[in-house]
Amino acid sequence: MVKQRLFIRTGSIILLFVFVALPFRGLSQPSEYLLKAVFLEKISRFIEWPENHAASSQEENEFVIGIAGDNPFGPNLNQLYKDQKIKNKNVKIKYLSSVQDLEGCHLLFIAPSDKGEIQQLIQSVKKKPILTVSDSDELRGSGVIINLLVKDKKIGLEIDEKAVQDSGLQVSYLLLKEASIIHPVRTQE
Amino acid sequence: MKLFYDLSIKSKLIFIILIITVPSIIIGFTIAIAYTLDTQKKEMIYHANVNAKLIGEYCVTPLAFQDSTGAERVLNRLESVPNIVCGLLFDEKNAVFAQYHQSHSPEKKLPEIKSSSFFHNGYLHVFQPVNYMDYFYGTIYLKVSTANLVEKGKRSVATMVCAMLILVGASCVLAWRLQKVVSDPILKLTEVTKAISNEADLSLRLNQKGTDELGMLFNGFNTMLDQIHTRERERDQALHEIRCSLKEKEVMLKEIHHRVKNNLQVISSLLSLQARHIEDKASREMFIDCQNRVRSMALVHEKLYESHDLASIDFSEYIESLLEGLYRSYHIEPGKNEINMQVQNVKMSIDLAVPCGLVIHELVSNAMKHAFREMDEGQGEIDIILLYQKEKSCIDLTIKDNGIGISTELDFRKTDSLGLRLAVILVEDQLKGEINLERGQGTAFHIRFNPGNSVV
Repeated sequence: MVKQRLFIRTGSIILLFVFVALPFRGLSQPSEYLLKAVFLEKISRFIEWPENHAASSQEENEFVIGIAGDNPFGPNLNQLYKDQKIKNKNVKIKYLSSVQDLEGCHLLFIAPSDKGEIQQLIQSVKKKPILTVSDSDELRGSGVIINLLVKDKKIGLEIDEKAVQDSGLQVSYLLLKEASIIHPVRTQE
Repeated sequence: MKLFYDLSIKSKLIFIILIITVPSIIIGFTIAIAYTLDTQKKEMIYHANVNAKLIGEYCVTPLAFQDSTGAERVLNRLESVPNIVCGLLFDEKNAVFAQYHQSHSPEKKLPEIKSSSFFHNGYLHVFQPVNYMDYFYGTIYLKVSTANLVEKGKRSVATMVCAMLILVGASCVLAWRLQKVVSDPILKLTEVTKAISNEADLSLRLNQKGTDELGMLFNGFNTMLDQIHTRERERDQALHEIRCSLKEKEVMLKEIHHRVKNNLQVISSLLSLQARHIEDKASREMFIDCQNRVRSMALVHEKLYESHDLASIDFSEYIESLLEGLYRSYHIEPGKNEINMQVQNVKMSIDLAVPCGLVIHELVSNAMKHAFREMDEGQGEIDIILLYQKEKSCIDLTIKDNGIGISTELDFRKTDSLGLRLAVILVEDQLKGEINLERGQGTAFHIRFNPGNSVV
């Protein structure tokens, strides 16, 4: 039984890396979101949340990913972060149904949904240390911090620097270097 | 070591200075070269590690997002560092993720990942882990050519060797110049000493420079010369005075001898005049004998004031003159009776010459008067032999004739003959010697005495 679980886990990791490592020509929908799910963890490595972000002691040991709108990841997200940790914390997936559910979220993936609701959501997370991520062209410049955009058959990053500044999150220069920047913020000399 | 001692003072000083400075310079520069080469190697390792760290940091996101194109783009920035011939980026599973090759031809053999930097086969191999925020992303490997390091090292060594040679040269020049400070005064001292020894010129002096030990030596040398010069002058003056005094004494002594000789000659002349008026033959002969004795004494004084040192006379010359007087006195023509002389040429003082001369005079005149009475003319022979044996410190004097001889019944010590008695007294009392008579064919008197310091 243990051997079987180990085999499945190893197999899934190998599969994951095969998908990640290979240039993804003609990205199919599931593999694209699987890759984006992996990216969420990779991106988190370069983000620093304020120390007093966690609302409760239980949340201190959890990294909460909120999904707003229709879940585009399907079961991949749960499977992927079932055992894997982000920022050395267990991952909790939270499907949001109302703005109140935002409490305790570290990362909020905003899936394309009703435009009015999304704007309301963005307004409510503004100036909160919640990393907002989307993959929609429509949400460019709307206050979403990171936008995952497929370009030249690769997933590229687009970072709204103004939104970063408003959120109070610290984004590593390494990530900024790799990404396209919109609404750049000039540092005062 | 003997060779060192035989070196001149200049060479010794130069040798001492160089033997201290040259090894010090060589050791110092060898350490400096070793330190420089080591520093250059460390600098190269440091710069390679910094480059690896920087490139590694820029490769964090490409590794994180599996962007090998981005990673290669980062690695291609190594083009700006010409020494780096190859850069490899390994992922966390040590598989090659991206690579850069200066020559655009991939490495035939991938390096084995290590945790440190090392030099091998003319290259520096650098491994640097790619970490970010406690996450390990992979390893960056740089292969750096050491050609520049070798070139730089060669230049450094060449510069150091040149500097070392210049310093050694400068040391030689300095050694040559500095040794003069010590050697020049010593050489000057040697030169002046040599000049004084060869030319005896005590007026030479050394110019004193400084108040160090050499200055003190010069000062002492000059003072010593002053003292010697003063003493020399005083001695010369004293010598001059002594010579003058000696000259005066010589003149005086000559004058005394001259006067003594003149007085003795006056006595001799008086005796001669007196003898002419004596009709008794025996009495007249006594006067003539006395006159001859006085003359032989006067002859010694004459020879003395004619001599160089006024102290001793040439004894053979004296005997010749003595015999000439005897010939004249006894009216003997040369060739009538032959007198053979074998007298060693000795210088004899007046103390010895007067008694010795009187002894010869008495014995020869005795032989002339009595020995040849019954012989034909021209058959008589008298031999005078004087031999000085320096090693035995004695004079052997033999006076023999081939005449009728002395009667065996006659004791020559107790005879009435004044001449023989005088000869015995003179030999035994004044010369402190011994006299023996040999009777045979004729008469032979053997006299031996110690001349002491009176003979040269």
